[in-house]
Amino acid sequence: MAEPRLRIDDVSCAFDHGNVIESIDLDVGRGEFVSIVGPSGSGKSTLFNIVSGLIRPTAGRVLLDGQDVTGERGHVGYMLQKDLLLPWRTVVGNIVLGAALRGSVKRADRVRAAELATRYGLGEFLNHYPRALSGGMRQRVAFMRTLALESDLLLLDEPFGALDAQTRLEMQMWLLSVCQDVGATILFITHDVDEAIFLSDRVVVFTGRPGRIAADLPIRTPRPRGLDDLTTPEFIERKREALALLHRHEYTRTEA
Amino acid sequence: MMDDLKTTRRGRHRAVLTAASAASLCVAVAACGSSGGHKSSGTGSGGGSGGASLTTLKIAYDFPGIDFEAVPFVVGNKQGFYAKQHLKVSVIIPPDTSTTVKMVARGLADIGFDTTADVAFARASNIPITSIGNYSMQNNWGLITNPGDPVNINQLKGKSIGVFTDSWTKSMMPFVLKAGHVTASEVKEIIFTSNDLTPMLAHKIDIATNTTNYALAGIKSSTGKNPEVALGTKFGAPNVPIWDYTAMSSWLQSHGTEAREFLAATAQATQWAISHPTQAVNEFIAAYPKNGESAKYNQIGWKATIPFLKNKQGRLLTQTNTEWTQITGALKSAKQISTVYPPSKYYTNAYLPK
Amino acid sequence: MNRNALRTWSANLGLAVLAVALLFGIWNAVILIGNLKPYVLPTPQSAVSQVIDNWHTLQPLTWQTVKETVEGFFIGAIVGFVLAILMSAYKPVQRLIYPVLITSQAVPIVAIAAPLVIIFGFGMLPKLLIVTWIVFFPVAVNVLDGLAHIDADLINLSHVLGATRTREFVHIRLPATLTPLFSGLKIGATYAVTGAVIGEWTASANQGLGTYLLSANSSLNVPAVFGAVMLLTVIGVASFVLVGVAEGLTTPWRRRSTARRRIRLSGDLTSGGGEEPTPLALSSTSGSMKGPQQ
Repeated sequence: MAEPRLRIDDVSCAFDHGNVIESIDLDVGRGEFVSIVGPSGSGKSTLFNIVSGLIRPTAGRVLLDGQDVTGERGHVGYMLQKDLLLPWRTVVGNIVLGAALRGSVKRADRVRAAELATRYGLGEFLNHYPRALSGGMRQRVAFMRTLALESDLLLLDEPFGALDAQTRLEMQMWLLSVCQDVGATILFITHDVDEAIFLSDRVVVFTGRPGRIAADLPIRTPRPRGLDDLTTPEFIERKREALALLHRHEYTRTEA
Repeated sequence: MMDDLKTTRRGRHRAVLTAASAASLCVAVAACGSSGGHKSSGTGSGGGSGGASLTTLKIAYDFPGIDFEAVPFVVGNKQGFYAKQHLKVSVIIPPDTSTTVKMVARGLADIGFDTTADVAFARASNIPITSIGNYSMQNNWGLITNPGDPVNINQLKGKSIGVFTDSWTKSMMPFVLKAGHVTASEVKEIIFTSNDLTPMLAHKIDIATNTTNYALAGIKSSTGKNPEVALGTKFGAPNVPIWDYTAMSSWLQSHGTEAREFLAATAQATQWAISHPTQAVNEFIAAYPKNGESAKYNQIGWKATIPFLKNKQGRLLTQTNTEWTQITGALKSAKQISTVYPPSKYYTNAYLPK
Repeated sequence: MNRNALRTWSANLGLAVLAVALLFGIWNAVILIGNLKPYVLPTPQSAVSQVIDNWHTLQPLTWQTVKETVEGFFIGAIVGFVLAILMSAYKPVQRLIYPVLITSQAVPIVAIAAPLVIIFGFGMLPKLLIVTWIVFFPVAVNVLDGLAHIDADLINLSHVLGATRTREFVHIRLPATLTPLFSGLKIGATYAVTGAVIGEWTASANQGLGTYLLSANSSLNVPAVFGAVMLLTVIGVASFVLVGVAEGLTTPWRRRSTARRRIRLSGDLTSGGGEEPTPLALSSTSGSMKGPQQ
């Protein structure tokens, strides 16, 4: 069998007060969309920081296509709740930020950025500054910045958490179509169980501190998915499972 | 004004004070804003008729720091000359060198100790202030250079000369430049607001302008040697008194007796201080221990002032028409004032002792 | 300048004129009510007429003071900026220098002016030093604060994107300093002229508005004193406004929605296949601009 696109191999990470995450084993296949849900403080963001190379784990390795990239940066695309757009750069300017930070921005980079933006609905805002864009549009630009790096492994840390419910739904639909289009491998953190089930191929449930994987639920709804998939019996069933797992572990945590 | 020249006697710390005072001039001007009327500051109106109580007269000094020119006032109090006239004199220090006239005009002081040029400016601004007696009789302003390095008036070109922003300097300098056959642009006038003697001693400027008493006090007390002096009068500047006593016309009308008593007692105190210089200065230092200068400085300064206090007839205080015509004329040709009034508008001898 | 901007400018100018007129009115009223003599507080009209009548004399003096102010301002701005960058980049430097900088501001300017003149002479240099002294501090503090408040996540993002420390500095940190820099510059610009005047007051080979002020004061020409003060005020206000204009030009993203330089998708920018990329179909609301948001 081919190596998984991403393998998190027995990763643990400790800070002053003990392990934040413990013995995380997770494989993500090429083109898979995996969501991680869990309570606050369960170390989800720490896991992301480890995978993106910002911090080193206390134990374990991170492998990309079989190669050990533990602690190395620049291999993955990363997106947060904050769009972190640079206010002094236009939409195109922000999309090519990766190229700018790595060396120089060539004309071809800008062309590609403009094409990306146009393709994903921001063709009329190529030269706009972030202050002129809505929250949803800014997150889209941030996403395109991530895509522009041509790393097809993306870590998205609650990217829609700051948006209102309506925009969030639109962004979820948009994300679904983009992923279909690009074929990216995605690791997605969210608090929102609905969102996790709607978007993912698998939903991984984290426990409370220290963070461990409690369950790995496959979502077999076929793609492309649409609004109707939010109210199918399968959806409700998965949701019941996920909530039960989450809450059971919530109660376990508080009782312990 | 002339007062700025006196700043030379200050050490560096006093230069700070002067600059700080200069910095507060607008505040001082604005703070002087209330009723423009004139109030009497005496404890009783009219003269000191009988009784043991003394009338206090406030005299506004010309400089924001007391110095040896105030010796007569200290002597007047200490030796009882003022008390004999039922007076007590209190010296008020102004916030900077340009406020004395305003303080007298506003009634913060009864008498002003300032310069003859101040009176000319006051009248030009329609402030009815009058000179009631000369403090000094001669013009002891001049060019000061390091000991052993006398001024050569024919070699002024390109020299750096320390000047102040006062108008006495501005009206005297044209005489100097003319005598040296140079124009203002052919010399380097360096504008000081305080102390131009120290830079001269440090060879940062070639020539300092100042009055001889302060120059002598400053340079002799610190180097032990006399500076070289070239008096302005040598170059054709009028030999007019620099300092005088002033009062508002309105105050004089209601306090004529006090004015007379003040001048009489001050003349006696001045005479005593001329005859007993060392003791007079010691009394001054005892009254103002924090005056900021050494005893040596004050002794030298007062003794250097004495020669200028009396006129050719040996008299103190007396003023003449000629001196006023000359000083206003010099100010006018230096474009410091535009209108010149007859001398009688500037001074009166009516309150002098017989 | 487009119509909107022109209208704003005229409105601002009108307001300024109104404010000055109001000030003059109150000024005259104070004199009237307090029965103040002209040598205590002259009327604003007399001060202005002094300026106009003596403009021939005042013009070179004003120019001299402006020179001192502007040159000192630029030096102070550069010094402040460089210090802030150094302190931000090297924490030991910050711990060492910052207290010294703060203490330097606690020293009264008039106290350092005299020693500066004695050391550096009577020319431009001491005045430039004094103006620099006044200007560098607000610049340094503001830029340092600006650098400190850069979102840590943004720095992390730049690292994730593969930036070296230099590139992180050039692309992320440096542009982030522009706004706080101009805040500091506006403060410095307003106070700079005071520094020039203090420098002139201490000792000066050149005549400026500061020396003129003292001269007029000693001749009891109080209207001329106030006239000089008005000129100095104009210099201060003009400096502030100019810095504001510079800020608008250098940081267009704060006011504008779009950049002036534009990239467009036209025929020659299409993908290799010769087709224009077709936008994905989206719901109508997401395509419209919801207005400027922070």
